[in-house]
Amino acid sequence: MRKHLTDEQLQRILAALREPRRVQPATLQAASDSDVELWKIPELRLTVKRRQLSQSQTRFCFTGDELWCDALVQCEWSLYDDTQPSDDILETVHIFFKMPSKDYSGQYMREVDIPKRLQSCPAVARIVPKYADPEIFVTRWQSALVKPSLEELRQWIETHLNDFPPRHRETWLNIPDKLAAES
Amino acid sequence: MAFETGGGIDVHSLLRAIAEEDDREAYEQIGMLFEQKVPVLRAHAVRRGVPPSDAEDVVRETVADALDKTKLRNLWEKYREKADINAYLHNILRSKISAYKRRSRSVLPYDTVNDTILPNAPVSDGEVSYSISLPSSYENTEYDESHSEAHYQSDQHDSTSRKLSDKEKQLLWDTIRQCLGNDLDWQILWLTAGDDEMDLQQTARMLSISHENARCRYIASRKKLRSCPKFCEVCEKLELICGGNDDA
Repeated sequence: MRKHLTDEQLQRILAALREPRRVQPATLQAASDSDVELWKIPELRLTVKRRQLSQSQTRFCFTGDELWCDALVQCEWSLYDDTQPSDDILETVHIFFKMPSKDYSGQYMREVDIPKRLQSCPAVARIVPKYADPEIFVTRWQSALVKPSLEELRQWIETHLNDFPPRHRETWLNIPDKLAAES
Repeated sequence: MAFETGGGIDVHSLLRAIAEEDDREAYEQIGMLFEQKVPVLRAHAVRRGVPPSDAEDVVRETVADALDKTKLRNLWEKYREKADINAYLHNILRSKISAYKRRSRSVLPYDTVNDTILPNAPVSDGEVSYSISLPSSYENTEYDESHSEAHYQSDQHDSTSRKLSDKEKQLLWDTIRQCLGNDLDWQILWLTAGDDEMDLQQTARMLSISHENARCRYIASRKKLRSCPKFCEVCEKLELICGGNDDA
């Protein structure tokens, strides 16, 4: 006999999972430093640390376990108008970065400097080669504020070539040249 | 059943399918549609004086209430092709905001910019509780007898409204990962259900997949989860749902 949840029950469980994550002081020393914040996202097996370098420069440090080995990651921030009580999004900023393929004590870490004042924890997603649409990827890549070099992208595509669907492999291989030609 | 027209999801077809055929897919789609309205509803609640920290609960109540099948049937039967889901949601939200304010015993002047109650607010002597009870329509989910599988019945004791600890959340997400067995599907669910609250269009962009693909995978993942014994078991263990009834 199988057990089965109703739509309503699942809806409520997912709603219960949707709680704002708490920001933690990065370290005891930094607890008084409002320019440093740390978000632990255990379900994502990721830690995000933010440091305000200047009025227009923010450094994010992403640290994850083996799930993040050599991952091509996209992050997005929604910027709101702090002077308004509404949740209307003023602007979104997105970036790409690549996690290293070599670990340090089982952890993979990447620092990214972004020429923008960003104060929130970003939405984070790993690109899954098997399902990623090359056209959508190219569009997002082109509009990203920060991204790896095209050489890094080429290496990532070549490393994961067998993970792409056969019909898309040629297209993916050509993406770095296409992007280089358009830039 | 397909519910899309050239211009996107056909809401009236969804309502008709729910009201006349008790169509599960249509119900899930309308649920997704309502989810996409959450940011707008929350902003509206804040504008109407609900503190941001409570607006999410008020909106959750609204969406849960709006998904009541009897209400959806009534909406269709009363308005048919003139049914307006935005008006429907805002009407429910309005009553939820009023109920929230009544529960707060007095309407507290709220500084929406600084997220604080203004200092001269007439707070009553007793404790002012902002806790939100679940809507009555959700407290008694009916058993769908047309379905051959056993459902968890009697939501009266569901405690999904309680705060989950970080450990519990992690256990649930790990279980979801196991049940779905696919990194893309897990990420779609995490981005849409997680605290980033992305809609499916944003989620699709984040993962570089098409909106349609994200939508289909989202629906399939929810179906898979609902019937995943491991997930049900963990939810039961965490007392998020009551025990199932075996009617075989």
